[in-house]
Amino acid sequence: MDADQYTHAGPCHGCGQPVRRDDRFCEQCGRPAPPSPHPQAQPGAPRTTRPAPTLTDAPTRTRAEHPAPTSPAPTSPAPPWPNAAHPAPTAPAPVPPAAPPGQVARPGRPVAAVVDTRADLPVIAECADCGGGVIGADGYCEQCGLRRPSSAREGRGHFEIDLGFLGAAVSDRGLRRRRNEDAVALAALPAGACGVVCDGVATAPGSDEASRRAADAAAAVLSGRVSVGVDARDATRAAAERAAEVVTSLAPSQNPDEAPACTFVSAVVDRAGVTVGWVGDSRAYWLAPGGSSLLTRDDSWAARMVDSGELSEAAAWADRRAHVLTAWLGADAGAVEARVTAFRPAVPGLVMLCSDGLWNHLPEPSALAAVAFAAGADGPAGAARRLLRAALDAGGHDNVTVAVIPYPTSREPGR
Amino acid sequence: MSEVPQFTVRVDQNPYLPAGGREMHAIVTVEAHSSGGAGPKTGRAPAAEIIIIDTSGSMSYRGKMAAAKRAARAAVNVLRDGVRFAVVAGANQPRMVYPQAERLVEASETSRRGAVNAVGRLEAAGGTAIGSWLRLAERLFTGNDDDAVKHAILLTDGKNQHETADELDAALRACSGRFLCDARGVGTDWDVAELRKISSALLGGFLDVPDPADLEADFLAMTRAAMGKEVAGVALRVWTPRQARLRFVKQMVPAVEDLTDRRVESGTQTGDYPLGAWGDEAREYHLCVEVEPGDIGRQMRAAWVKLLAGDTVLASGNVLAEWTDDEAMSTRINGRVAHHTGQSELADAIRQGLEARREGDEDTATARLGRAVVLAREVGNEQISDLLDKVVDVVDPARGTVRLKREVAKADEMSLDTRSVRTVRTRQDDVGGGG
Repeated sequence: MDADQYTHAGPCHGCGQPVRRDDRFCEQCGRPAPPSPHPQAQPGAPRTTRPAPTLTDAPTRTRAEHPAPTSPAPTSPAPPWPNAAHPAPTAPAPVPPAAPPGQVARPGRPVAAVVDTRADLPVIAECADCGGGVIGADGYCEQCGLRRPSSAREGRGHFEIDLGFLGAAVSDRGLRRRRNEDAVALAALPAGACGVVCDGVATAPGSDEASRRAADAAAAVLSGRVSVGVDARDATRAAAERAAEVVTSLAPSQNPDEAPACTFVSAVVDRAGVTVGWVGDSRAYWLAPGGSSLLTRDDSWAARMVDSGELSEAAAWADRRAHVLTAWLGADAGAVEARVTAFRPAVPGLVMLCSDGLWNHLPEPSALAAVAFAAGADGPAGAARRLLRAALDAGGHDNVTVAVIPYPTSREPGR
Repeated sequence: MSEVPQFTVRVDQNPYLPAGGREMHAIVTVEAHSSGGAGPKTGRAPAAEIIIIDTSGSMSYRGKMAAAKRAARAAVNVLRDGVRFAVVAGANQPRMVYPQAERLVEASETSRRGAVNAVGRLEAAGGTAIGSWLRLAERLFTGNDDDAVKHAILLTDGKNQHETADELDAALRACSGRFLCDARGVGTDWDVAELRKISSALLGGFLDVPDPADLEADFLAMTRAAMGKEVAGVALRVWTPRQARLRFVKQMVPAVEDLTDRRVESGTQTGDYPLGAWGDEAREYHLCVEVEPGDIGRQMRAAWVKLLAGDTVLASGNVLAEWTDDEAMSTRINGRVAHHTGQSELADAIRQGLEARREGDEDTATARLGRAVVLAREVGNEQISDLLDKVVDVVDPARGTVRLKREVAKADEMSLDTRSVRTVRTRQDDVGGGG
C-alpha cells in the first residue's frame, strides 16, 4: 500500500512510530491510535480522514461545500486510480471472515483485512476529547463519556467516494435529519468494482456506527473473495453474513432493545455480469437508456402485503406501516440470509445502489435513469451527484446515499 | 443461583440539552419477568423468612393480639415447603416462638402446624425494644445460604420505648444488607418516622394498618410477595463520566426512597446501590446527573446503568446527552421525568406540611399541604388526594388554597404520613414527549 496516499498525524503514543491520520492502530506496535484530534477543524478541505482506511474509498472524499473535486487528495503524488484494469492492490488471499482479535495492521498486510478484523475488537481508539479514555465499541469514551464525533466519520454529513470510471458514491445527511446513518463503501475488483450501501435503521445509539462498519466489512469480504475467484453469489452471501456479525457484535450484551441495526445492499459488477444481494429496503437498480428496472424486492411491510396479494401497491404504500422492515442486520434480527440475484446485461448501463432516502422520492427506474443520464460524459460521479441532487430537491427527508457502478467496466477513464 | 428471571432496563429521558446545559434527568425502569411458567415451588432462589410479632402489653387492647395471631398463622401457612423460617415474639427482649431453639427450621406440614400452635399460645406482656428483635433475626439468618432471599416481617403497635434511639440505629447498621424487612404498624400508637427508618434501612416497605382486622390479609400479601422473590442481592451499578456528579438516585415506584447516600463505590467511575431481592415486578428510579457541557452537536453517555446480581449483569441501559441549539428539543420535558418529579415533590410537601402542623406552624402547614393538593391532582394520585381531604378542607384545588381541619383523626394523619411516599405509575400514554 502506498503510504503517500495518507497524511501523517503524528507519532504513536506507544512506540513513537509515525501514525497516519487514518489509522486506528499503530502499524508498528498495534496500539490503538488516536483519531484526528480536531476532526472538524478543516471544513472544506478534501479529506482522507477516516478511521478505517480501506482501499475501498480512500482516494477522494469531499465535503458538501466542495462538491466537485475528483482530483486525488493533495498529499497524493500520483493519481490513486491509474488507467488500468487492475487498479488496486486488492487482497491477494481470501480475507478470513472472522480473523482473531488482535490481528491488526502490519506493514505489508492488505488494509482490507484490518477492517475485517477490527470489529471484533472491543476497544477501538483513544478519546481525543479527554486525551486518555478508551472509546468502547459503541463509540462512547469510557472515561469522559463523550461520543466520538459523528462516529468517527466526522462530518459524515456529506461525503463522496470516486473510483473514477470504476464507480462513485455519494452520501448526504439530507435536509431534515440531524445525522447521517447511511454508509457506503466501494472497492475495485480485478475486472470491475463492488459496492455496499447500508442504512442505519434503529434509534438505538450506534446505528450510524453499525452501518459504517457493516458497509466496510462487507466491501472487504466482497473484494477479497471475488479477487481470488470466489463466485460472486457466494461472496455476496458471505459479505452479508459478515456485515450481520459486525452489527450484532455492537449490541450491548444484555440489552437487545438497544441493538443497533441497518439494512444492506451490495453489488458486484465485473466481466461475469451483475450480482446483487440485499437485506432490508435499500435498493439496487439497473439503469440503461433503453430500459431500466428495479433489481431488488424490499424486505418491508408494504412489499410483503403486495406479494401476498393482501393489498394493492397503492393501498400498501398508503399505509403508515409501509416502511416497516421485515428483515435487517442486527442482534435483534436473528440469522438473516441475503437475497441474491444475478444477471448479465445485454447493453451498457449503470448499477445503482441507494438508501430509501433516494427511492422514496424517486422510485421509478425510468425516472432515475433520466436523472442519471441527464448530462454528458461526467462519469459515475456525475450521475451519483445528480441523483442526490434530485432527492434533495424533492425534499431530502431522509439520509440519501447513492452508489453507481457502470457495466461493462470501461477501460477508459470515465471523466 | 437458580433460574434468574428475564430483566429489562428501560430509560426514559429527553437527551437534548441546551448549549451549556449540564443537568440530565432520566427515569430508569427495571422490570423482571419470570422465566417460563415455573410453579411457585421451582425455579426460585432459596428463601428464609422470619416473622416478628410485637407482644408488648399494649397489644392486648382492641383485639390487636388476636388479629396479630391470625395474621402470623396465615403467613406461616403460605410458606412453601423447604423455606427456612422462624417466628419471634418481641417485648423488652425477643423470644423464640417457633422453633424453641435459636435457629431456623425448614417449612413442612409438620413444622407449619407446630408454628401455628405456638403462635396460638402467645400472650402480650412487656415493652418494645425493636433493635434487639432485629438483632435476633440477624443471628438467625446468619450462616444460611448467601444466595437465599432473607426476609423478615415486623409487626409493632408502639414506639421503641425500651431501648435508646442509638441502640436501634446500631442494630439497623448491623442488620443492613443482611436481610430485608417489611414493617407494619397496627393501631395509632406507633411512630411513623421510626418505622420509615427501619424499613428504609432494611430495603423494605412499611404501611399502617389502622384496623387490626386487616392484618391477616396484609400478612398474606407480604409473605406471598416474599415467596415470589427470585433473586437476592440485586444492585444498581451506575457509571458516570469522570467529570460528572451523580446528584441523586431515587427509587420512585413502588415508593419514593432516596438511595443517593447508599452508594458503595465499585470502581473509579461506578457506584453500586443495593436494591434487595427481586421477583416478578417492576420498579422505577429517577437519576439526575450533572455533566460537563459539550459543544453543540456532541453526544455523551451521561450515565450507564447496569442491574447486577452478584457479578452477573442482568440488564443495562444508557442515559444519553446531546447538546443542541434547537430550543424546541432542549426544553421538552420527558413525561415520566415530569411525573416522578411531581411525585417526589408531593411526598416532600406532605412530610413538611404534617411536620409543621405538629409543631403548630400553621402557615407553613397550610402552604405545604395546599401545594400537596395541587401536586396530587397533577400526578393523578387519587389515594393521596383522598387522604389529604381528611386533613385539610380544600377551598381551591387548582390553586392549592386549603384550610387545616381542626379535628383530624390520628389514624388519618398517620395514614397520610405513611402513604405519602407511595407513588402511582405513569400510564403509557403519559409518556409522550422527550425521547
